[in-house]
Amino acid sequence: MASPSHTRTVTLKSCDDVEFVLDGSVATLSQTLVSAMAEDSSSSDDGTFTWCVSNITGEVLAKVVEFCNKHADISSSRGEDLKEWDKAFISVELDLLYDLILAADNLNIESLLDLTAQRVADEIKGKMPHEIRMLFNIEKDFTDEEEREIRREHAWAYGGESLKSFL
Amino acid sequence: MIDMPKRTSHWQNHKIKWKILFSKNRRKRRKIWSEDRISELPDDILLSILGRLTMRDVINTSALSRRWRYLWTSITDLTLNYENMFDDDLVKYFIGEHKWRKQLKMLKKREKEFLHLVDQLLELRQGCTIKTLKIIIHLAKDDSSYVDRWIESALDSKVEKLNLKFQEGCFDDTCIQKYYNFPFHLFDDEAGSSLKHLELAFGIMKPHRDFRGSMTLASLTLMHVHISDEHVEKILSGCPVLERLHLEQCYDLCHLKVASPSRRLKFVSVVFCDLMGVEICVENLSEFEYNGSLVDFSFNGVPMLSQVMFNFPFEHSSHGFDYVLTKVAVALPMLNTLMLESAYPLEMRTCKGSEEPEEIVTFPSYSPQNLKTVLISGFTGLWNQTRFVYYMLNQATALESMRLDPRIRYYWNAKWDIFKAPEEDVANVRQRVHERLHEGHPKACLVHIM
Repeated sequence: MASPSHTRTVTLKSCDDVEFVLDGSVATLSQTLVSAMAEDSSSSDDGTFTWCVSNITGEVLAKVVEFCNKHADISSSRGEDLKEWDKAFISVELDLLYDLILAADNLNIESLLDLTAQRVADEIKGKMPHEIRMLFNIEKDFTDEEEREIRREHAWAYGGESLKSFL
Repeated sequence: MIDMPKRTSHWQNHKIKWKILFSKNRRKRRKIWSEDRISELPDDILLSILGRLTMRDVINTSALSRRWRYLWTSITDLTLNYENMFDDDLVKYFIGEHKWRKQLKMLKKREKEFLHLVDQLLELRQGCTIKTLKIIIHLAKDDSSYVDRWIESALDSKVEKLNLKFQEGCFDDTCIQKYYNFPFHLFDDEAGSSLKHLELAFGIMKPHRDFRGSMTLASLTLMHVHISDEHVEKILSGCPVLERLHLEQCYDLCHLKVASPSRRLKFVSVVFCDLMGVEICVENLSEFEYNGSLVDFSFNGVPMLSQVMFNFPFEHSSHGFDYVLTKVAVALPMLNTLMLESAYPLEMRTCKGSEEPEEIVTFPSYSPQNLKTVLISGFTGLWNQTRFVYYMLNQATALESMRLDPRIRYYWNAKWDIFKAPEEDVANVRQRVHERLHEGHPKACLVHIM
């Protein structure tokens, strides 16, 4: 019989063999770990549980663990302070951001998924398509015909008179 | 292999990319383009990103590449907000007296553009599932046919949640605000068989004579809606699976009668409706909230009602308390949680709470058998308030906790908010309560001051 998840410690192992030890209560932020622990009946007596994440590097996993520790700590995570912390936490380069998204998806950590998705959305907000393409290195692979069609569909978005024009 | 330092600033990154993009080395160029990692993310993650954008930004993404071309049509929750559909702030800000005419002209043009745009969007999405459709617009005189069409299209797409918010106010006198007449005729056949949640702000609810009701509707929220007592009854009687009902500032109501055949109706809330009386008869109702003036309450056949919240902002708190005990609590044998908002601005100004008021309210000798939790917000330690606390401690034999909150809760913009109380006020309240509760009261430990 497995002991309740919040009393156990969890060892997370990255694909490049970096290990992180988590409190059981911290690990409950990850739905993947919760269900893995519930299924795991071969619990050792000292209540540790090891989980290997195959496609996440130690560098990324360290960030994920930092996030989980902060969010599980009820005493420090209060409203505005936590928001500020999140903001600083997520100010990373795009490459690391993608890794964090994939890690959050893999470990199914809802609050981290929310935060990362919001960051990407904030990057897209208010930009024109060519600016978004530039930022994310997206290649425009439309045919000329498709391109014309898109312009027709989107006439409203580009043809609007701007506020500046009559200020 | 491109020799790029592992950590470079954003700007450095850009500089390097540009250099390679315009270089003649084709292999290097391809390598840079292949770094499009965002497009490789799984659909559900991209959709959750798109779900955080305004419709304008969403449409922009469809012009990025083939990967993104039709991705947005899989968004199942659509929010079409007139205020953030366009790229400038024209709609949001008043530019200035001297430019007002010009702005007005453009605003009107924009409104028309918006209507056409929503038409197009919904047409593009024909056949795709829509779970939520939220529309926020100003409604001018003859625009209701557009909205009718959108609702019809959403119902065809098996919409589950419909949220229609027609904003208050007009740009000028020439566009007389028109209340939207909810199209009950669309619900006559199978079309409306998916709708579970309906929210309408600023409209008219007038079901026609043959309206048979909805077999799926689980929650109904009406704000600033013209609806009569009879029509509420008619709609309720036609909704056998309704779970939640919220009526707010529906001033046409007079004697509200909530009687429902639905065995699932658990929550009813009435906010500032200017009523004369309220009659509730719902078999499984468990939660009831009321904000407004003191009216005749008649609770008949609510054997399961266990949690009530009352706020009488126009009454002295002692009157409100007295009323709740004599008229409400006595009729509710299962009452478990009682929440009262006691803030009454006049009261706080005139008697500072320390002296005895002219009129002392005598609370009835009645003991609420099952009452376990009492919450009072806006509690300032006034004479009659503390007497009420004392009374409750003595009479409610099953009481487990009584929380007194000096902060004032108020209802604004469709949600509850809290005024922050200064530290010294909280300290004063704490002291007053301790003084009055005769320190040795055996149950004083149940009282928590927040």
